[in-house]
Amino acid sequence: MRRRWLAAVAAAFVAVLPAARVRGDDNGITVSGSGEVSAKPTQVEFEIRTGGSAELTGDAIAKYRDAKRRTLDAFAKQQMKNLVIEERAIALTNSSGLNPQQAMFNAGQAPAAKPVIDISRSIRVVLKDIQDMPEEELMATIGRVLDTAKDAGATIGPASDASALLARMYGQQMSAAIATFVLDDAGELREKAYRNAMEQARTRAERLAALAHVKLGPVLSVQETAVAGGADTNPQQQMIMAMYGIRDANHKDDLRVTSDTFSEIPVRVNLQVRFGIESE
Amino acid sequence: MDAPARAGSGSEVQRPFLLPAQTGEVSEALEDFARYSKRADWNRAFKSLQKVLDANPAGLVAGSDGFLLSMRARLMQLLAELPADGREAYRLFYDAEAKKLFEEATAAGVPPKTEEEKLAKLASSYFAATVGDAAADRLGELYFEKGEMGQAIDCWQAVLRYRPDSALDRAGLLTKTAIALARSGRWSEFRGVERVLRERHAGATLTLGGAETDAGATLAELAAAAPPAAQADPAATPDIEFPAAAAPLWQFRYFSEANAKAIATAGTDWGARSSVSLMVPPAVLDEKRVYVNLLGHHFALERASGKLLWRSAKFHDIGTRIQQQRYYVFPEQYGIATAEGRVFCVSRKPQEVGQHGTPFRLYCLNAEDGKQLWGSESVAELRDWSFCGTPLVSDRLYVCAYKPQKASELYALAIQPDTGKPTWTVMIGTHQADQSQMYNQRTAQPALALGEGRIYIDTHNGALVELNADTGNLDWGFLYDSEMVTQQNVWYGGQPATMDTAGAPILAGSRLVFKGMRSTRLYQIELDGPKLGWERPVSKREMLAGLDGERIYLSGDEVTSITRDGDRRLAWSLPVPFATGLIRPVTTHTRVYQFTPRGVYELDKSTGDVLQIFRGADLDLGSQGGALFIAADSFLTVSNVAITAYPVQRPRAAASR
Repeated sequence: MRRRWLAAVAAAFVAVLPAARVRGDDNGITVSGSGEVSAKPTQVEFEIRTGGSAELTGDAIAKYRDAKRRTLDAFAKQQMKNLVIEERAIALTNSSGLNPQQAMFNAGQAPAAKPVIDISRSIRVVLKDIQDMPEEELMATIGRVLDTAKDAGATIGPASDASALLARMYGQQMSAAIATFVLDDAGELREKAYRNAMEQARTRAERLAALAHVKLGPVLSVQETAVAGGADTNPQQQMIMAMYGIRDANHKDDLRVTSDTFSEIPVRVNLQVRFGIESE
Repeated sequence: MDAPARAGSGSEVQRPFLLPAQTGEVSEALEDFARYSKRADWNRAFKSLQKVLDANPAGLVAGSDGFLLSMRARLMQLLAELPADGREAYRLFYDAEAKKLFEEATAAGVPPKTEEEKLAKLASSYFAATVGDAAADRLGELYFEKGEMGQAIDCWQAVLRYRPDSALDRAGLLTKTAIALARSGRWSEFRGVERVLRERHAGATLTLGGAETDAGATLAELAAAAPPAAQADPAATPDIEFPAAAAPLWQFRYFSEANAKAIATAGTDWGARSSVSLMVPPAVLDEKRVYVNLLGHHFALERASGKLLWRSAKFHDIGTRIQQQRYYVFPEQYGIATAEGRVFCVSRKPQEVGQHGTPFRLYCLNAEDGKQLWGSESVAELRDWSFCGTPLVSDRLYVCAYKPQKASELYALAIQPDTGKPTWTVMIGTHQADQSQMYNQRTAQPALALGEGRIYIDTHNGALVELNADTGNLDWGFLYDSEMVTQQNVWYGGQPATMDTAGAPILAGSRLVFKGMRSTRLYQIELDGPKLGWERPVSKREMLAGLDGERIYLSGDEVTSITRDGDRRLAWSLPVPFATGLIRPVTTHTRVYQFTPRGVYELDKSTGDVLQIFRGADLDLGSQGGALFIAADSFLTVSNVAITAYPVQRPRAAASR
């Protein structure tokens, strides 16, 4: 009797697995369900850096102070509505004074250079409420933000260790996204995505239960397998980071839903749900 | 002359450039003389001195603070510093011989040439003897009569400076010096001497042409005829107002877009950018025309219209030519200068643009029609030279050069502009890295500045020298802090091009301010001495852009301003877009202008605030920025792709700072 029952469950498992990735075991059916809801980004963000480097610390401080003031003043002069400036981390480093090429190409044998103090400040420039903005207007506004930053002498883009290494290796800047589109308040969308994922899981489980001639029971467990936004990373950077074991200092670990492209951003939820099987 | 020069106590420092120094034996003898003099061991001291005199030295000897002084100046300095008993001892040793020589020189019937030779021997070998001052004074008069004002001035100034014990009439020496200075157009120095005479020797008389005259009145007469004080201060250049629209008066593009792109991306197919991708052709203006040296293709445009007036060769295929041999193009070595209807170019022939080892020639062209008046290939004395850097033109043409078979030895030449015949040639020193093997790293091209009777040459490789403009004599050299370029571990594809900047030294009265291309130091030298005024750390990528009474302005990937008062504080700095080191920023009355890849930045000199960014008509062409020229009626930008002229709306009202 026990052997016949096991054979029946095994047959059901084999039959449904390719279609719905269902795992049956002795007391339930496990299925995955995914839900996806898309929406236009609500804001666009730019990571910029200002700062200065000099052999004399006093000079580095003066340069840093000047650079930051000029950058903030430049944005203030623009009087752009919905623009928010967030001052973020400040970094002080002591570098060799060699240019990146020298450092890379002549490692260990480069001529002695006087070390310099680098002081830099990350600033996040956030342009809010862009979801209803016509594309033309948005592009023009983004252009103003980028030009303002560049003209003020700020560096646009995150200070990525990987891109810096690439730049050193090839003596030139690698391409990297400079704007991050953000769905600022994705809570409601995420709720909807959860509902959709759960509904899909239930539908799949019911289908499998029907095929297996069993009655679907209650949910025994739920596991969220991944929550993904549209965040991208330059493939070259990913490769270099993997090769050299670098963790990107600007890793987007704030769980916001972001994308490097201006398009509807999907909010995805993947659930793995295990349903019980009710005895007939 | 062959021993490597070392600065001060830093003999262990590896220097990228060595100045011509005395042999170790002569230097040691001089050191012995100084040491024994301190101990008042006169016998030994003068034996050592005799060794120095017998060597007839012409090179430099180590002074302090990185200076190397001419042996003659150093000797005079040491003799002038002798205490009274030392002077007495010196005269016991040398007076008899000196007096004999002086009598022979000044005896009746002695031919002038013999008189000059004997006096010159006296002035150089027995200057501290009793008759040394009189010999120098008489020698000065001989030079004056021959019209060799520079030499005459040197003689009289030597007595004034190094013979404080001299019984000669100081007022008379000062007056003669001032007259010689006026005759040679050295008006700034003239004013200084005239002031000393007025303040300290009022009422002094001088016998001129057999008649006694009032020295002050004579100099006042000369002063009245002097031109107004030179306005070297960039604050004298008026500011400009950019036009409201970017529409240019005219634009001259050198290449097709394909050619421009080929040059701008040279080397980037694999590896790093090459130096040729940073090319901005050197250009100069006169009242009527713009002259350009585009990698050996010389051409002139009409200032008013941009019309091509003449050119030495077509330049449609430059892109193709440089692709194959881009490591050896050296765009920074091309130079151009103009004066009095002539244009002087340092160039390779267009068909030799990338040929390794091919010399750079010096050409003199007629500014009117571009016809070659002479070329260094056709002047026998110049045939073997390869020229470098931008020539400097006054009554003579001053330029640096090397011989291709000994490319590391750098020389300075003074050339007659009309014939190409050299007046003098002098070795400045030796590069430690072969400048023809730099693999995309910017080569050190000397930059020249003309003072009154003196030429200052920054090798941009760790040494600066002063030469007598009349004679070419090396007065002194200064070894400064500069990065030693490595020529090891050169990668396939060449070293990545470095965007180093290089400016010329700037004279401000009796001070010289300069910054070497690979140096992280800004220096001020007090020329009365000479001695180091101060040095200050700055960014290596910056070049000296200008100075005024209060500030020094540096430019590169950032523009910075440093105060000239006691603490030399960094007043402000501004990072600016930067895509080539071949830039030419301009400082005016209250502004600093820099032509960048994102337009011409106009900065307030007092705050560094960006007042305006003029985005001109070449931004869409892929301009990397470059040189800026400001004239009364227009301003011009010279980039890697085009020369563009824009109208100046009106000069800004001169605002006081």
